[in-house]
Amino acid sequence: MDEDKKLVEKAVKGDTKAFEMIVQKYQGTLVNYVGRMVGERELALDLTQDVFLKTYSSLHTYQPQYKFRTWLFRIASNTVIDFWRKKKIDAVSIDQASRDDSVPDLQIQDKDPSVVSTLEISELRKKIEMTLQKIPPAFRELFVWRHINGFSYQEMAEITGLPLGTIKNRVFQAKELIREQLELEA
Amino acid sequence: MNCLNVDKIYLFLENEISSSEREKIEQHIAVCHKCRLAVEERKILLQASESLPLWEVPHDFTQKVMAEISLQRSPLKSALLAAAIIFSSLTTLVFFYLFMTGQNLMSFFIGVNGTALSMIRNISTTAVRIFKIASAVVRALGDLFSFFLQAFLKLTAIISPEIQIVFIFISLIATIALFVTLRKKLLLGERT
Repeated sequence: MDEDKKLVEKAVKGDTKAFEMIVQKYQGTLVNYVGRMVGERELALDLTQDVFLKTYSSLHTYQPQYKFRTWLFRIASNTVIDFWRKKKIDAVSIDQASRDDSVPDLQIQDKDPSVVSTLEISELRKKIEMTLQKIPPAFRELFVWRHINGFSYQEMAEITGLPLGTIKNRVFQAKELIREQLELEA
Repeated sequence: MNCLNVDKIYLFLENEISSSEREKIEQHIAVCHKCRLAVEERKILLQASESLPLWEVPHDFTQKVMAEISLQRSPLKSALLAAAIIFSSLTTLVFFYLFMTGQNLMSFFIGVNGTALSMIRNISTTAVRIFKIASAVVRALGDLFSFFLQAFLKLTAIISPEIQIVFIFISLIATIALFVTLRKKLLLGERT
């Protein structure tokens, strides 16, 4: 049994120290995910706290055949969607994007622009960070999971319940959306 | 090999392809300037994306979460705490009242007891009155109903069965017409 599952088992039996270890282990990853999704630090901290509270109250429903991390991030993703729905901010875009396959063209253009190669890496990071807030949430979420949280495509497929191929394709689309946006702003 | 499409480039950059395919792509980009540029550009994009600065978490974040959880864990403890606060506040108020009015505890309780008893007495009297009025209304409704029933029985004894059937038929038609009219009006109301 892996470490997370042991901690969950102890926490379910009332060992709060075990849950504290889970919080310490995942708080950074979750704040970085939620933060990139909502774009505000304080809000990200509040929502991350909500994620942990929800996780704690539903620990008894966790099924050990699934990876704890993917289960936790499913709760986090639902918390973010709930927040948008309550605030009526872009509330449907995640659902829409999961159905809507209107995607950037994945063919290389004849005159492939190269603004990315002209920027300093630190400048490029700043621009990516800003551009991230401009792409649809469903694509942003996958991009953050892959490149900031370091999830494998398989884990992302488990969180979303989407086929592996679709996940890969959407991550590529997310990167192309960012690249196109960088070109537009250059 | 044909020129690469974008997903092939990303699969190549993320090592998500077989070694034979990798070799083919390497051979292709060695001779194709357009694809080489496209790969280089996306490689830089990937490197920058994977090294984005991480958001710091405040040092007391874990403690805050655990404090919330301990409140969530023991609703009974919270309820008992709330009850204790209410009880102590009331006790303080009572003693403050006694102190201000110069009463002793016994006379205060006798006073409270007397007030409570008179309240109960008033409520009981009002309840009895309400009950009496309600039973009178029910009796009057019963009398009215039996009057209409007697009148109806007398009417059916006078009128022949054929005419009764005609009446029933007419009233049935009138009811249906009324229902249809009302329904139309309601639907029109909905549309507007």
